[in-house]
Amino acid sequence: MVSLKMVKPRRIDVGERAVDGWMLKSFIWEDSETGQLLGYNHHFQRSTSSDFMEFIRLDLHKKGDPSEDSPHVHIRLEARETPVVDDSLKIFRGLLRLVPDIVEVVR
Amino acid sequence: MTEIDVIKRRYGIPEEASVHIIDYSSMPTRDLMERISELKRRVGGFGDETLDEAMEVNELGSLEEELDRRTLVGEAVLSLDDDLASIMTSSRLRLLSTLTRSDWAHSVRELAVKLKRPEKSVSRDVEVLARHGLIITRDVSDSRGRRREIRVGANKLILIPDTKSVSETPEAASTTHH
Repeated sequence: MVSLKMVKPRRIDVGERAVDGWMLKSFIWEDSETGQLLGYNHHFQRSTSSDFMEFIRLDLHKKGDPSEDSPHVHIRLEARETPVVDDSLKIFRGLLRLVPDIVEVVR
Repeated sequence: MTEIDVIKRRYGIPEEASVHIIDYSSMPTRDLMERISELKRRVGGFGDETLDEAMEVNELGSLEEELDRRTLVGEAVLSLDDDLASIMTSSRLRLLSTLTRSDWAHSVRELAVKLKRPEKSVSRDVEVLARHGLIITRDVSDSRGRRREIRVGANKLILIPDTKSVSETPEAASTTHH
């Protein structure tokens, strides 16, 4: 097992790609020697037919707060004309299954 | 199979997707420490609402891991873009070799006496060498008063050309984040 102090981190940027009607951009942090996953940001975005942009982001990171340091989702809806008209939501692992429903609701 | 192919297979990234790797181990130590300081100032005051903020949280954690690793193995990275001659003067090399022979020097003053040099110029050299990870300082306060202790930070020096990343398609790294 690799000691936490001996991690040799690197960032992997994955260029934009289309996934089920969304554009996905990913950033992954890992130990370059073992491949151990350290964190990620998977950023989905798409525009709707009603002049809105939708953003969903799946995050894993270490902020030193156990409630933050598990995979979680951010959802954001923005109008093209007026940025940030609606609120953003932050959802933790246990609620991930609700994401499709929530996206429907905010639409 | 290339390194990029291994990564694509590990994370299920499609063949056609571009992948760009930023290898923190080849980041000059001075840049690493400056970036950590900058991110610490900023991360303290925000959450992770935007992609930029969330990325900076991850970047800070990874850079701190890299600095911990270098400290533990005694490694410093200098870029050939730096003016090495102006960093590694003969006085500083002598200072480094003095430290090599001991553990912690108890103060800049003690070091200056040992080197038979003015305290002020030794202090300046300590600052420059510490900025590049070549020495480590710690502030101590005890019955003898407050002072700055000094020891060698690196016994392995890595010189790198200006290649901070390995990339399949460098243009793939987008700068537009939401």
